[in-house]
Amino acid sequence: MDVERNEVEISKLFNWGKVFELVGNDDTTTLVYMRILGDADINKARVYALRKSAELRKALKNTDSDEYMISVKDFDDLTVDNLVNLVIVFSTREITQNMWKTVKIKSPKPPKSDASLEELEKYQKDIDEFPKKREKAIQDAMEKELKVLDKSLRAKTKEELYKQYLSSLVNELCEQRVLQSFKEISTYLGCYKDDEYKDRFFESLDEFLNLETEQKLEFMRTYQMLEVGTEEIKKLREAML
Amino acid sequence: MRIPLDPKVKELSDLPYTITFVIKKLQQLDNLRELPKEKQPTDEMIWDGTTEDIEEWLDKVFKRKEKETVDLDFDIVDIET
Repeated sequence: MDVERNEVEISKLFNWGKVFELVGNDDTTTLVYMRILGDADINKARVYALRKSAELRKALKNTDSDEYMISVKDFDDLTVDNLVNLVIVFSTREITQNMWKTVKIKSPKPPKSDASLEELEKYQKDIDEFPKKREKAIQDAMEKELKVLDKSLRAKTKEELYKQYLSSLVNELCEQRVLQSFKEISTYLGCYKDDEYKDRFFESLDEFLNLETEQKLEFMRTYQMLEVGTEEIKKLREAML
Repeated sequence: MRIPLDPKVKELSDLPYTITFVIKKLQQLDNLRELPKEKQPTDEMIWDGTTEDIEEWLDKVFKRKEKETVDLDFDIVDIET
C-alpha cells in the first residue's frame, strides 16, 4: 500500500540495518549483518556502476564483440514493424522518466489551520486521490507520446529505423547494466560479519558476484528490502515541515 | 523530526545515505524558507525537480545570470566585400 503524503512512516527510515541467517549447503548457519550504505559507499557504488555501463557501451559499439553478437539482431532479420516495435519498447523507460519529470499536476493545497471539518475531509480526500490522479495524468501523457513516436518512426526508412534501434538498444542495455551493477555492489558493500559493520562479509566483490545465482539473489533481495526508495523518502516531507 | 539522529549511529560517516538525504533536504528547506515567499521555489520544484531547476529559478528571481544582449545597428555599405 502506498504511504500517502500525510501518512508518513518515519520508522522505516531508521530500520536501516538487519541481521539474517545464511544457511549453507551443509546446513550450517552464518550470521550476516546488513546495512544501508553511507554516502561514501554509495559514491563507490555509483562510480563502479557507471564504469560497468561504459564498458558495455564500448563493447556494444564493437561489431566483433560477444556482447554485440548476443544482443544485436541483424538488419536483414528485422522487418520495419519489428524495428518500430523494438524502438518503442526500448524507449519506453526514457519516455516514462521524462513524463514523471514533465507532467505536473498541483498537489492539494492544505487547508488553513481554522478550516472546517468539511474542508479537512475534502483535503484528505484530495490527498488520498492524488497519487492515482498523477499516475493517470502520466499514463495519458505517455500513451499520447508513444502514438507520436510510433507515427514519427513509421515515416522513416528501414536504414534510419535500424540506426535508431541500435541506439535505443544500447541505451536500454546500459541502463539495465548500470542498475544491476549498482544493486550488486551495494549489496556487497552492505554485508558485514559483525554488528558494528566493520568487517566486510565478503573478501572481495568477485567473491560475491561468483556466488550461486539463487544465493546472490537472496542477498540482493534482502538488501533491497532495507532500502527506502527516493520517492518514499520524499513522502516523508510532511515530517520535515 | 527536526534532528533525525539514530542512537545506533556513532560517527557521522556511519549515517545511511537515506538519513543523510533527509538531513540535506532539511537544510535545503530551512535555507529556502529564509527567502521572501515570492522568491521561494514551488513545492513541486523542491520535491520533484532537479538541483538545476532550483538553481535556474533562483538565478531568475535574483536576476543573477541575465542574458546580456546588445543591439547593433550597421549599414550594409559598411560591410567589406
